[in-house]
Amino acid sequence: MPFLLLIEDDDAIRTGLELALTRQGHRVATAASGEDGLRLFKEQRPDLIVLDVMLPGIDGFEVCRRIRRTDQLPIILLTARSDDIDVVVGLESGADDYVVKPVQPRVLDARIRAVLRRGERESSDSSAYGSVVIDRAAMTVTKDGQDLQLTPTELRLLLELSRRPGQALSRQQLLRLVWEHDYLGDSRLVDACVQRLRAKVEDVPSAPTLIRTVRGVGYRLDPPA
Amino acid sequence: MTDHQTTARRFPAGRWRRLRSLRVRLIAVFAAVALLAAVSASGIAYWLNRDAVLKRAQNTVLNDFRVSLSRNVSELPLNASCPELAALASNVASSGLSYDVVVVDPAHPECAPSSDPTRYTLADVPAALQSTVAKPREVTESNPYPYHLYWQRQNLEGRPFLIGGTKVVPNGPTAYMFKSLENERADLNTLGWSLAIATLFALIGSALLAQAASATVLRPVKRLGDAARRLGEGHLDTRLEVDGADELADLARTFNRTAEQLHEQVEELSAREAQSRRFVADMSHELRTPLTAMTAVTDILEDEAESLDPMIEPAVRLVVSETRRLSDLVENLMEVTRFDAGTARLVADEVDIADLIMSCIDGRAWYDAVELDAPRGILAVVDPRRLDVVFANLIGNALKHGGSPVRVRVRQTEDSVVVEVSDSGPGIPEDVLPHVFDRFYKADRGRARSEGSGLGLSIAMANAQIHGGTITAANGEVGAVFTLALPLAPPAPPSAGEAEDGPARDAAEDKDAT
Repeated sequence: MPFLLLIEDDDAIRTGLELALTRQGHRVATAASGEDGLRLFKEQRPDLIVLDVMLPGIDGFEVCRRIRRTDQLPIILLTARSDDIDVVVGLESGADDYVVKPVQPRVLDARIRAVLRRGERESSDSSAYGSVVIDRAAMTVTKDGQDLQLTPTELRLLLELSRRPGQALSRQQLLRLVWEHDYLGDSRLVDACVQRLRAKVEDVPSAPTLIRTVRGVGYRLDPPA
Repeated sequence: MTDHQTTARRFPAGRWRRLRSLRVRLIAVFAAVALLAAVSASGIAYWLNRDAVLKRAQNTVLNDFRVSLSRNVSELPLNASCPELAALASNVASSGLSYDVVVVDPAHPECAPSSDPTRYTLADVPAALQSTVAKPREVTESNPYPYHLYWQRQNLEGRPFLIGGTKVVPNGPTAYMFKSLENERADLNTLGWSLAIATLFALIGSALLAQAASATVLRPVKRLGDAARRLGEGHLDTRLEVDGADELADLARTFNRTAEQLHEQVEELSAREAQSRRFVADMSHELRTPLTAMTAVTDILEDEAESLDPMIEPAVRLVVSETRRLSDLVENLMEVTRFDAGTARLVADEVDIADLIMSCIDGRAWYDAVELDAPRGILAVVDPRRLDVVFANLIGNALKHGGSPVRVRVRQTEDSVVVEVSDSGPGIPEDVLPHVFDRFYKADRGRARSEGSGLGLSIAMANAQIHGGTITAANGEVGAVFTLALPLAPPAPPSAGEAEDGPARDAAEDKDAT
């Protein structure tokens, strides 16, 4: 049973979502502020965080950034608006996915399950791309022998790209493969995640050699020559 | 008015306007005044001068002639012979003022000697002058002499001459004098030319003056015109510099005052409009919080509804369905306020239009009711979420108001993709057609509460427009036809749309372009 931490300041929404998520089969802990949420996160080590963006005190973005400094667990943002700056800032601060209020509990549950699936192990061997080694069995990625701290989403993105080296995948394809979104996926999710992934695996993130952009198509993992 | 119209008809409009322009009119008036003044001044000057010059020359010559004649005649014997008369003629003529003399004696009518017989003869003397000279006047107190010196100006072979004649004694010889006025004529001609040239200079000067004067008037007028045009284009902060206290300055002041008031009114209006938009945006935002909580528990209520008391179950179902409706309405309201505020953004990606429509139809379980004719492979750069809203609204609307089968046809033109959604319903009444994209406009007024929010088509239109496309509504052979036309790529500067998803994507796309 997945253990979720729900950080939401509005009592009614918190109660409503707690009820709904519990009913979907999750164990839910709740916090009413960012400070409380960070404390609960450290004490109870949840599997996933559902995080409201508009919080009194430290806001959702800041909470997200602070968690990302140490941990790579999945974070889903609850945003008020679907197409303004919230989403971009949220994705840049390290969120894995987002849902827009008022959210249907079924949709949120589907997203939660999809995010959690990304961390599941695969029975496969490891492969090396230059200094980057992906161990599919252990679900770890090392660079120059050092373990890389990747979120499940970043790891899944890297796995999907590395499964088809040299082949370009469109943003919509990646959305389906990694995020399990339907055809209406937000391509900003892919772009933001690629940026974060590059920051971790590339030698020079601003001049990527491993994860290349294919203009007008999407992204491609290039095995080093 | 009538005069203006008839005249205007004769000229092409533009040319007529040019001819009527202030500059042209000013120059014409200045030139007319200058011409009148110069011509009258020169004319008077010319005539006075001419008179003075001729009179002086005439008097000198005639006096000299008289003196010379009386001196010479007194030496002439009675009944002088023809040679003596000839001598008289040349003696009189030799006085030094270069005139020639013809002498006639009634005693020798055939003789009539001349000081220069090759050029001047008696025949050159006008008959009128001859008869006047020959006619004695009655001697009275005021007229002591019967004969006088008469003169006449006459052109001989095209040259001006002064011809004078007199009889010194009764029955004595008559002498005629020929004096060429060539020099005087040349002087007067020179004067005439000088005056004409002066007039011309005055005309040119007046034209230049008029130009300058019209410039001093027209420059402010042009500035005023430019300012008025800018004001009309919406630059309400346009003001004019006011200097001086003339009528134009007054006009400029009036202009500034008007612009000021206009600016204030427009600002007040837009402030009020912004306020009401703000209110709608805030309100829908505020509504969302309780709605989020309600939506969160509707699934639970719905799942449990079957096991509830039959009395309570319909109530629960009503709450669930109305919560969803309210939720949709608020979502649509928020979407509308985003479009109104101009904060709606494109999150564009290249997608296959056919896939997008399939996904839209699948997601809403419309597959059985929709006939899809969409070739795969039509790729367009669109915001998939927004386009889904467009398709859902168009197809949903067709299903609701038109009835199945709904046909969706996709085709590609040179640089755009066209999606046609046609239904099999009764079509849209002609008087409703222009309003189908209006907010909260419902074709069937009697049905106060319809299933839709009344915003669907207007949101679809706004979403099409943000892509640089449009939707048109028409009636086909059967039912209504909505046609969405979208460019294959959104317009170059999609406001700040690119900028928003830019930071991530631009960095991703540009940095490794090798």
